[in-house]
Amino acid sequence: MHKRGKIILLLLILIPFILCGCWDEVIVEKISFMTILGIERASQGNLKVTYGMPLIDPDVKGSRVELLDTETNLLRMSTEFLDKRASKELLAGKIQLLLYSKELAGEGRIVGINSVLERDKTNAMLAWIVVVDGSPRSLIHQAEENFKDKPITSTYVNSLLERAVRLGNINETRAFNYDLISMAPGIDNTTPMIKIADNVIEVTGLALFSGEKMVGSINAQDSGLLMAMMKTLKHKKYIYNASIPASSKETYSEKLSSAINLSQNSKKINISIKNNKPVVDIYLDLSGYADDYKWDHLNNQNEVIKVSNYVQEQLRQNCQKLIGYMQFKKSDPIGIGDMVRAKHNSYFKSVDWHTAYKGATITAHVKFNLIEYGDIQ
Amino acid sequence: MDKRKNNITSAQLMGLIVSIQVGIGMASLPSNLAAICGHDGWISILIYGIIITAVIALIIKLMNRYNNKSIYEINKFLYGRYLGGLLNLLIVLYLWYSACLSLRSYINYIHVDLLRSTPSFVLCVFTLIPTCYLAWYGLKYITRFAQMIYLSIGFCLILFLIVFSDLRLNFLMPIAQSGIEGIKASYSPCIFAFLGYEVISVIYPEITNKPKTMKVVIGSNIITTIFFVILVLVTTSFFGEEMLKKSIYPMIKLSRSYRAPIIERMDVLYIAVWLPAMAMPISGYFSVTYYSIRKLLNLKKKAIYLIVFTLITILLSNVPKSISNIKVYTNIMTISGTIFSIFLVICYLFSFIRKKGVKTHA
Repeated sequence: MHKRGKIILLLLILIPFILCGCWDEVIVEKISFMTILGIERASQGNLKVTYGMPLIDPDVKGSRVELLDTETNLLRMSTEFLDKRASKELLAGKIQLLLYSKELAGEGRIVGINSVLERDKTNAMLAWIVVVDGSPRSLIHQAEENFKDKPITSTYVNSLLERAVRLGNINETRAFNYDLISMAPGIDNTTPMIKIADNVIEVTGLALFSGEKMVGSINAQDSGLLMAMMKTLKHKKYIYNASIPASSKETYSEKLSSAINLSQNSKKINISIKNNKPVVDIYLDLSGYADDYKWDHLNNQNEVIKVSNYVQEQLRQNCQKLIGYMQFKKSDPIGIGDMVRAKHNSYFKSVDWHTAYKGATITAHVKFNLIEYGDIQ
Repeated sequence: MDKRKNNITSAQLMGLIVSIQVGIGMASLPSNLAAICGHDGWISILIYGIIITAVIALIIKLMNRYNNKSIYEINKFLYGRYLGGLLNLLIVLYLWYSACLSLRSYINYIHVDLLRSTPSFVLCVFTLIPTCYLAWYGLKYITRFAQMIYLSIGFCLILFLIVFSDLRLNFLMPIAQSGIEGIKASYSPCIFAFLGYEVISVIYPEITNKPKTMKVVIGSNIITTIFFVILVLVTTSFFGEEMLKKSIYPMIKLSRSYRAPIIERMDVLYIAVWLPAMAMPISGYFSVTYYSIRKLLNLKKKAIYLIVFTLITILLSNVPKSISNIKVYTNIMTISGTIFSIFLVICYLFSFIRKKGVKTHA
């Protein structure tokens, strides 16, 4: 045989082995992509796990998602177990949502359970970490059984969360950043919180963590202010429900309130250590558009200043109240501890940060300008 | 040996050195540094980069003192036939050891991140097929392939740019917290990452435009240093030192953490671009070792020797069995590489005492 012939023959034998797509093909119709996982506490320290996989089989009528429940000691073992029950082979690479129950989050078990996502490269590290007020299993089942007018639960919740991020109601918390913040000293996690209410799923706000444990929660309105203090409110469409100066005759809500679209200009945090205690000043520079305001006066400069000052004081008070709540819960999502670690490292090393944070003097300073007021005289 | 097939230009030399240094060194460099000196790894890299540049300058000065000679001939001039021969044998063994360890580290990377159950032996065979193919033809073809490293580095820099808004500069503070002790302790991962420059002492006679060699080799070390500094800065400020310590290969984790529009999973693209780049130290060390053996033993029937050499390399690369095992062997390579570099500097100084073979105008 000629030399060239030998080479061609050798290549013909080798090529099928190199093209792994030919021998290790994955047919989409024969597998189930897990898109949503509900995890909650079970007896004896175990986990109740619920898996949701969209059905893409045209032969299956009436159901959009295959739901599987089990109780297990490890997340990986639940996949192993449910693989024996599922209609198709389970694949974890497309998980969009990991729903944890509030109780499980309170026990500080999320980061431990998440280790499977970091260890096994086929898992999606971009899945949302979400805390459910109630039972994740019940939420997934109720949503699939009752919400026929809505998309499948994973798509529905995913869309809700992405919108809530755009509206400045929650921080985007994916598995990878949840894990790294859990390990970083001087900064605590927040995760979106959802619940089921009146045939809908609602994003209620943010769950607050102290170390690995969930310690409290704040509503969507306060979440926006927290994001302003974290400097993540930029380019968001956050609407602040403000009270406005009103005369004593005005009693209806449309005369007493205004919807203000807040935007963040800048944030500055000054930190010093006085009498062995951190003294923190948070300066927020915000501006806003009055999206909804009564029919009066906003073409008058004095009136604009009056409204601005009024809203500014409210924002300051709300921020201060929020800081007080977070200090009480020993939760530091702003990362003040991280800044103390960076600037006053010896002090940071000498104290237990969460205790020092609780006793810190933290003051919010807010500057607010109403910059536009619509096409009304 | 067909001389022309081994002749390389200065630009090709630059690509070869960068590819050997960056290839496998970058995979675990940030996490190794985080474990030793916390968030100050970038300072260590910068300092060791400068030290290595000085060492490279001395190596090139040594080569310039002799007329178109490699370290193998220089050893015979300086230390005589027998001692020189022994030293040459040690150099070849070092290069071979580096080739085997690079192959083993690469296979381990594939095991951890991609093909968990594929036997190492099978992966070794398939990894070495393109390397053998290129080594068969000569150094020129290896160095041409090595130019692909710039594509991989470019891709990495784009990835760094797109995750820029997620970086937390506070994670890098306070600067220089680990102090001199941290810099001293980070010697091992830093030197291991920079190894690859020493091949210049072996392939120097094959460089076509020698006057540019000094500029080119120092340039390649500067490229590597800048890339490593950016790499360590980005991974540290993205993950934080605590998370970085827990990771083995942070770059793949970084690519998994970015939600790319349309392609969705960036890690797939990262693997496609970086796998060939990470295999470059194997092809570099493999071809330089094969070139050295052929040159020293003056072998003619190259097909038989190449097959034998490949088989032995595959067998030796399967000696380390675990990640912790590889770390031990990596430390041996770091120490050997350091000794080799010091030896080259000593040769330079010794060449002023024993002037046999030195160019008259040098």
